[in-house]
Amino acid sequence: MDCNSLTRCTEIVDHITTGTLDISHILSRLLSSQNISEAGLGRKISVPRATINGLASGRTTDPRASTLQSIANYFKISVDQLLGTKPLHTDSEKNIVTIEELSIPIIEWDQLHDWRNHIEKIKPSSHLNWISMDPSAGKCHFGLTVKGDAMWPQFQENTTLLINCEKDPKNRDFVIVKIHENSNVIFRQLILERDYKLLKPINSMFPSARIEEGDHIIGTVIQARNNL
Amino acid sequence: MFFSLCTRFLNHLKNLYGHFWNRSDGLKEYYLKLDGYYFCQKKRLLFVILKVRYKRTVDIIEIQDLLTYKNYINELHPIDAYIIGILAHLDIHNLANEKHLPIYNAHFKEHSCFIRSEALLQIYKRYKDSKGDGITVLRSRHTKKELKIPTNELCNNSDLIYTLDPWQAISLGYEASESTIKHNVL
Repeated sequence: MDCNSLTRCTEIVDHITTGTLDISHILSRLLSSQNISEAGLGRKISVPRATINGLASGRTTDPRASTLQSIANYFKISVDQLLGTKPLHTDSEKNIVTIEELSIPIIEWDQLHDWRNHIEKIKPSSHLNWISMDPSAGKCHFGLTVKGDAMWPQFQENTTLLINCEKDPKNRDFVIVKIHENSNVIFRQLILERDYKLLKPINSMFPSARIEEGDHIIGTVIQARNNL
Repeated sequence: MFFSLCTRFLNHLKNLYGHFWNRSDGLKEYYLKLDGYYFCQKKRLLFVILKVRYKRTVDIIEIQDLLTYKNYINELHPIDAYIIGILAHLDIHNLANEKHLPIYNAHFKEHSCFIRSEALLQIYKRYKDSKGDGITVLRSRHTKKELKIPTNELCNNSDLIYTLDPWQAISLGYEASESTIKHNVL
């Protein structure tokens, strides 16, 4: 990397977590993340609920310094962070995502027809493809690597999908479906219309299809992981 | 005589197609820019206008066709690619029309400079948290550190989008649009 690029990199890294959110967004996010209501916060820091509401809704544009300081102290952040002039997460340790040791097998598309039996037979010593995931992300049964470009560019080829087979798919979820007619297994977005379910690709070159009787939704995508 | 003709021809190309080479300070800029977009009521298609930077040369392309021109996308600023991702996603869901086209003003685009630089971050993970909000984990190409950020916050941060490569920026545009649609539908 040349000198100019390095300079540019430094500039970008300096800006890297500088959000463009204002105090109302930040305060709403903090309230939500701490699971505390506006009234609850007001009681804790002895500030009227209306004042907190004014800030959270964006109606109050020039809050008093003492109010800001009280809110910042409560959430253990600086006033600059509350105002959005500094990134909310300055603690670099917070930004490092630690991955717990939960390994999920990555299986092949042709193994999906009988994935339960296949996974039961998998032994750590015999299976080569595993992916680590954070257990808090939810239950996951297996991983699957995207082939083809039906879901391109949102899901590029070789993206690893983590699939939960017990989750009820909702409207606009991304699902893995076994088509009864030709026994193909496809990855599509599920669109629920009034009386029917539609499987929609992202790439407009591919056709949409309706879920017919006998088609089976194998699982729902809970996480997409790019292979870097 | 021959030399003069060659020079004139090269100048003509340069005036038409812009700079193919580095700037005087050694930096290179993104060659193309997204100049605009519109919904054609007659053809019922969404078109984007691409312009050669600093030149008058423009190309008007249907948005789904543009996605197949990989060379064009590679020459676009990640912010432009991000906007194209949003538009393309709206288009495939038949939500892009004259009434509902989102407007991205110059302010959003002016925030980042147009110097082409190596992508510093990559989208590593995408998932939904317990509340159903999209979370994106970005990973640094060089330090392998990770940055976990709500997808909607990432979409408001043009500096972060600038650190992605154009294809990942398009993917993020799809994600942002999907999130908006889902929010409105559910």
